[in-house]
This record gives sequence, structure tokens and C-alpha cells, in this order.
Amino acid sequence: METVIGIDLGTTNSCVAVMDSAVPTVIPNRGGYKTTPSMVAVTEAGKRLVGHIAKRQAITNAENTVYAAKRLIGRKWNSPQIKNALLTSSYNIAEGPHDDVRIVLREKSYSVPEISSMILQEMKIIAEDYLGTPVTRAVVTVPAYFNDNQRQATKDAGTIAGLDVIRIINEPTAAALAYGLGKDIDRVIAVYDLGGGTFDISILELSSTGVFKVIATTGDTFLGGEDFDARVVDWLVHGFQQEHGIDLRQDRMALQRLRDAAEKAKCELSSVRETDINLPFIISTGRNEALHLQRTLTRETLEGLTEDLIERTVEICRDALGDARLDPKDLEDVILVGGMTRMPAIQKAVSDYFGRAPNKGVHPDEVVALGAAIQGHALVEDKNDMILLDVTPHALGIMTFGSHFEELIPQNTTVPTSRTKVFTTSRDNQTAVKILVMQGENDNAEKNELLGEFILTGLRRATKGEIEIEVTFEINTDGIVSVFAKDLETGQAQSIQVTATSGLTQDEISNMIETAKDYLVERRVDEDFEAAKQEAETLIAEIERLFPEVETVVGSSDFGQDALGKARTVLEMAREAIEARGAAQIRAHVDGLARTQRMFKGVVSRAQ
Amino acid sequence: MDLDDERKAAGRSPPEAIEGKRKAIPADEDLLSDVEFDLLDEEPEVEEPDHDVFARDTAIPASPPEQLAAEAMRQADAGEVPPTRGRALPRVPPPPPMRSKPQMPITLEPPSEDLEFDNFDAPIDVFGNQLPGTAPRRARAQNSELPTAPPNERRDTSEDDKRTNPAPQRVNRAAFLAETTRNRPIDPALLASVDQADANGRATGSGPARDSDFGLEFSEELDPLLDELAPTPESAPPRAPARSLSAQDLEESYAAGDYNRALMIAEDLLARSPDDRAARRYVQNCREVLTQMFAARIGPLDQVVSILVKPEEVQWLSLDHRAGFLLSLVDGQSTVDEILDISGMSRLDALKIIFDLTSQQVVRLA
Repeated sequence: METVIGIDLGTTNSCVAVMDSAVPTVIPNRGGYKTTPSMVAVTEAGKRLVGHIAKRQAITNAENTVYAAKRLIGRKWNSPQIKNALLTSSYNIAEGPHDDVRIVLREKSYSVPEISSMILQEMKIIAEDYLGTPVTRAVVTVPAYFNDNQRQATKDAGTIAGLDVIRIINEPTAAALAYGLGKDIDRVIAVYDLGGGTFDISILELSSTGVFKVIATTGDTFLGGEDFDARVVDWLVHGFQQEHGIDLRQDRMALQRLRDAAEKAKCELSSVRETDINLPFIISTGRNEALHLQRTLTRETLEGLTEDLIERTVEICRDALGDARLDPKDLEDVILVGGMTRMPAIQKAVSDYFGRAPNKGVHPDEVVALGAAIQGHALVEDKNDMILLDVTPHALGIMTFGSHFEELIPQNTTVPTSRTKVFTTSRDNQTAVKILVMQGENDNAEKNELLGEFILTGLRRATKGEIEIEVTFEINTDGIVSVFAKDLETGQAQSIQVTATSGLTQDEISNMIETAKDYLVERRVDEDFEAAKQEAETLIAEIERLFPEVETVVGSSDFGQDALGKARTVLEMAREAIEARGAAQIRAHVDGLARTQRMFKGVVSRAQ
Repeated sequence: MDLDDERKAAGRSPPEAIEGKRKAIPADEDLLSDVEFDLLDEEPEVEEPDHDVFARDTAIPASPPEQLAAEAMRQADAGEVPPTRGRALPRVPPPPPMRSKPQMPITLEPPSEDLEFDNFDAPIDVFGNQLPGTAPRRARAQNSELPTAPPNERRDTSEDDKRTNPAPQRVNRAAFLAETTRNRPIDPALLASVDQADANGRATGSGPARDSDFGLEFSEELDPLLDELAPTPESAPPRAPARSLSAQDLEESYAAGDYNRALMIAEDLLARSPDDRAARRYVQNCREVLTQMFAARIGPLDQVVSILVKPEEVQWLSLDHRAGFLLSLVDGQSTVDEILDISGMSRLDALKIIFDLTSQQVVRLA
């Protein structure tokens, strides 16, 4: 049975997990890290960098490094989030052809799902390298607040990456699954998720029927570990400026080093009381002198620097519980998610506010991916007790007179479903009505997401409230929403089918899939070549090392000369194959090299 | 519980209702007039790419730089290093000069032991082997000089001496490379001394003189003349006033294979005349040739870079902040190529620094 991987596609870091012998396991990347930065960059030479390597040049190549693409995915060009991103992003954001968003890197335009697909593709490669088999199916997690368009865009990203996203699940739900919750229990829990770039608090009602209701979710998409790092950077910069009168922020290389060092120090302070930050040759003074930065950061200092940030998360928790009309004591469990929750001060703040020690049995930065892997496994194994039911992430309804949002299908309704409601005209002699299909929970319709609109005409002229129009919402198993409006008097009807869209056409997605495939092939060929080359070069080096000794032993005989000549030929041919960059050609010479090496070793050992 | 009850429970106010039913929106009423929902048909404005090939780093040089590099290296390596493993490349003419001019011979000498270069301790050949007669030193890590003093500070004194007292010794090839690792702005005083030497060279009819401070190499034919011309400290002439280097200097340096100096002059010319296409072309060609040269000396770019110095000893090295930054990227896992990608520097600058760090035995490539 084919393995299904679980991917936590995070704003700042991503993680991939799989069920390995019935145990959910996080797969480390090639660098040995269990999380991979959700960053994509294009170098001056046009090379694509993904993950840690992209992060390490994020400041020195800021305009060509995409981070936090998740904040943009599935958004429309005119949305406030994009307007905000335009002001804060170091990379170039442009308007797409379908009111969507494009990111320009080195004069080439990429859609946001395309950028996310590069990260998903990297996670796919990590999993394939670990499993040794191709992976084509995945469960991907998204924040609970993502609407249908954002979810569809995430699915499209998976498709472009060569993954069939068999289910999109909410991040807090995945975390709850990873903690083993949801098995025949009914309880209300809080999921406190402080990641690298975002903070989310979700109140979940778990039910033994398999529905994980998100009662309330709120957060701050610009509050995360990066803000904690920034405080440490500020502290370092300020101290250096006081000591040397130099502002390190003016130098990109210095700033890159400061950011890296600040993050490292912050992580270390979760387990030790103090740590040294040592950055030699951080900057030149202009007087032919390079200066070093050396400081000791204590846990107390870090907590003092970030106290207000921690307090902000508690305030947001308070809001979330207010939305859910619950008290902290009503919660039966608090789950910590995100690497930042390793910080002792955060754990203390959560304990203090919720009045109970948080559940921290699973690595907070791996827990979401683990939950996704558990769900993926349950889906293919058909383990009904673990399968979450597909629910509507947000309420669906229409806009009524006065910009009110009239909800027809509530949030967390299992699909397929259908609901009907009757409306009336709002003016005398009104002959047509406009149906605005919307998604969201806000009473003010304008604050919800518009999914589509249509007009029902041919109404009889009558006084307001006399004509009745029946509006029906239907969601099928594929998540496609159909809306019907019918004049109950004349039977005249009109309808619309709303499909979530990422802003990409099918043709565009197909082209992107081909491009992604090409990239993958190219990358695999390169890797194959590198592996073959390394093997051949190791043998060549060994033969070259033994050559003088062998020459001394057998060089005087004709037979020996002949053997040495053949060995030289083998070496030369292998080098030529390496130069020609053909993995197959190199491999064809590896046997010859191995034989030569064995022969040389034999000669040397006999001579000794 | 029906929907109205659910809404009331949620604390929402019901919309205005008539006979218990909610009003629909009149078709002619545009409630979202201030919200643009229509898809935009217009194409986004995209900046026209710069079609000037000389403005692009990837433009094809007038002559393939790798061939130029190979040719220069072949000449440099003649009789000095074991035969290279790579195939010999055909000799190619240099890019079209600004004016026709006979090409200067390039004759490189074996390394001399008595020259000291702050930033270069162990001259190596293209295979990374130590050149005969040169002992590797770890002076920077062990000497008692101030730890924060970068090489340039100490260089200044010796450079001044060298300018006024041009050393009669021939500069070795490795020293040339070590010198090219410095990406310094053009010092007018330094230029003046070069011009002076240049003038002296022209006076003898032997072409431009080359100063070791620029990492230049003396031809065998020039050396005796220079020895004669070298002033003693007492008779050192006052520094000539700085003058701008000319296109002729550029052409001569390029023709002589002195790409480092040619690059410096071309960049100076370009700074003064940004529209100077020829200078731009020279900048590009020189950078590409030098990049190839350093890449060839470093070896395969897929070698993993590791730090040889203990973390606590790094600060005792003599580095500048750029080298310090590059060193911070070395994690024992990244290859040369990856470090070049993430350095944020030009490939040439990064290669120069990596070569320098390797030469100083601060890092190891394997």
C-alpha cells in the first residue's frame, strides 16, 4: 500500500512525517534537521534554493528570497493582507492576471501556489529519500481560519509539486490527533500555536463521532519567533552601537549573522541559563580594522526583552476564549504547538493563564506534521475511528439588505449537506434580486469573503415583503457549492456553482506541473551525477595514493609496466567521464577503477 | 434549534424582517460599490528587461573567458607545475582591444621565499599542493599582533615602502593570486605610483611597468630594467600626483593578461563614465576570466568546506568582515558552490576569499 505523507506547510518552517511501522515519525532533511524553512530563493546564477540554504542568504539576497508565502496564498490582489504585504515584504509582489498575486524573482514571475509547491516538492523529496520509494499522496495542514480559496490554493500547490493532496486538515486538529486526542472522547481543548511567524490559538471541541469542531480561532499573523529574534538583534545592535558607535543594521552581512546568532541563542536559552554570542569580524570600521561582537545573553535578559510579546499572546488567548464564551477552567487540555513554545517563559505564561500545565509530550514543532501523517495513514488504511469528517471550515450564506450576512450553512457542518431559507423583496415593485454568495462568520457581510454572485430577474411587481424567494445551498462531496434561487410564485429560478479557486487556470497549473517535473528530473540527474562522481573520485584518489608504491614494486617488469599503463588508461577514462558529467559513463568506469584498486592493494600488501 | 435561534444564541442581531422573513437585495442596488470583485483583464505592468547585453552579468563575453583563463594559466604553469589533468584548450585571441597593440609577453616566475604577503601564507599549485620552497605558515593564528587588526592595516606600511622602494624581486604566481583577493577601492596614491612606474616602463620602451602591490607579475625582460630603475629609499622621488588611468592603460593591462589591474582600471573608467560600453565589456570579461582562474585554483566546487581553526581561535586570525562573513557560512556540510550561492557577494569576490582562507589554512576543502 502506498505511503501517505503528512506535511505541515508552515509560514516559516515546514515539516514532513510518515507512519513508519505504525509509529508516526518525522523525517529529517539532508542536513539532519526535522524542520525545513519555508523559504525559496533564486540566486544570481538562476539557481533555485529551498529551505535552510535559502534562509542562510535571506538577508544578503532579500529581494530574491520569498518567505512567509503562506500569508499570501489564495488571497486576492485587492485584499488588505496583500496591501500589507506590499509594504512589508522585501521581495517584489505583483498583480496576477486573475486578480491573484504573483511574486517576481530575478525578473521571472511566480504564482504563490507555485512558490509553495517548491516547498512541498522539497518535502516530497525528503520523504522519498527517506522511504526509498516515490511518494505521490499527502495530507497537508492549513490554519483553521483558511477559507476555501486558500485551501484550494494549497491543494493546487500540492498538485504542482506532484502530490495528490487527499485531505486538507486544520493545524490544531492535526496537533490534537498527534496527542492521541479524539479517540472516543468528548472534550474541549485549546491549541496554543506560536510558530516562527504567526500565532494562532484555537478552541476545539472534540467529539467521538470524528468531528473536531473549531469553536473559535484567532491569532496574529505577524507575531512569532522572528519577533523574538528581532528583539535579540535589537539588543545586540544597540550594545554594539554604544560600544563602537557603529550601526550594524547598515551592513547586510552583519545583519544576516546577527539574525542567525540571535535565533541560535534564543533556542539555546530554552535549555541553558545563559549563552555566549560570538561574531568575530562582524564589521570593518573603515580604518582598516575589523571588530568582533561578543556578548553573553541570559535567559532573564531574553525574557525581559520579550515580555510584551508573550503578554500579547495571552491577550489573544483571552479574546479567543471570549469568542467561544468559555472560561479557562472550562478547558480540559492545552496543547502547545510551534518551536517557540519551548521557551520556559511561554510555558509559564500559558500555565498561569489557563490554570493548568500545558500538554507538551510531543515535540511542538513536529506535532502538526505527525497529526497529518496519522490522518493520512488512517485514510488509506480505512481506519474509521481515526478519520476526521470533512467539514466546512467557514459558514456559507448570502448578503441581505443592510449588508447583513445571513448564514445558511454553519461552520463545521459535515459535507455533503444542503440548507434552504426563504427571503423576500426589500422594496416596492422590485423585479430582481442580487444573490451575493459569501463565506465567513462576520455579521457584517462586507467583512466576509465573496465567492460569487448572480441575479434572479422576472419577479412580479409587488409591495416589499410580498414576493418570496427560496435560496438553497448545496455542498457536494467534492466541496463544490451550488446556490439556487427560486421565485416561489412563478417558479422562475437561477443558480450558480461556486468552486474554490487559487487564482490559477487549469492550463497554468498544467504548465507549472510540467515545469516542476523538469526541475525534478534535472535535480535527480545532478544528484545521480554527484553520487557517481563521488564514488569514482574516492577510487581514483585511492589508486593515485597507491600508484607510486605499486610502480616501485612492479615497474621493473614488462608485465608490471603493462598493468600500470592499463591503470593509467582506466584513470584517464574515468576522469574524462567525470568531465563529461555523465553519471552512466562514470558508473561504467567504476568497476574498472574498483578492480584496479583491488589489484593495487594486493600488490602493496604482498610487497609488505 | 433553528437558524434564527442559533443566531440569537450567538448574540447576533437579526436583520430587518418583514412578516418574519428577511429582505433580499434589490438587483439594482450595488451594496459593494466600493469593492472591486471583477477580475482584472489588464496585463500587469512589467518592466522591460535591459536588452543591453553588457549590462547583464550573464552576457557572452567577446572571447570565452574559460579559454582566456586556461590560456593564462597554461602560460603561468609552464614548467612550474605537473601537467594538469584537464584537456589543453586552444589558444584564443583576447577580446577586441580598444586599439590595436602588440600583446605583452607573460612570463611567470617560480615563487620566491623572501616575499611576504599578509594574506597569503602557503602558495599552492592548481592541485592544492604546496609549491616547492614555500613553507606554510600560520602566522596570523599564532602571532602576537592585535587580533582585530585586519591585513590591510599592516599592509599599509609595507605597501608604502614598496611603492617608494619597488622590490626588485619577482612576484610569484601565488602571490599574484593572493593579491587579487583584495577588493580594494582604488587608492589615488597607489594609482600615482603605478602611473609613475608605468611612465618609467614606457620611457624604456618596454611597455607598462607593473607593481607588485597590484598583484602584477614582471616579465623576465622587464626585471633587469626595473632593478636598475628601482630607487633607493634615500633617492625615492616624491609621489606623482594622481591621474586617471586611461583606456590605454586598460588595454595594455588586458593585453598583458593582467586582468586584475585591467578590472580595476575598467571599473574606475566605468565609475567615471557609466555609459562606457567598452569599459563595461572589459569589466565583465576581466571578472569572468578572474572567476575562472580562481575557480580553477580552488578545484571542484562541490568540495565541502570545513573550518580548520577552533572557534575560539578564529578571532585571532587576520581577516576582514567579508572574510568573517564567509567564514560564518562554513558549517562543515556546505560545498564551495553552496557557499558561493548564499554569500551574497559576486562569485569572483567569494572565490577570492575562499581561496585566501584556504591558503591561510583557515578552511579546508575536501
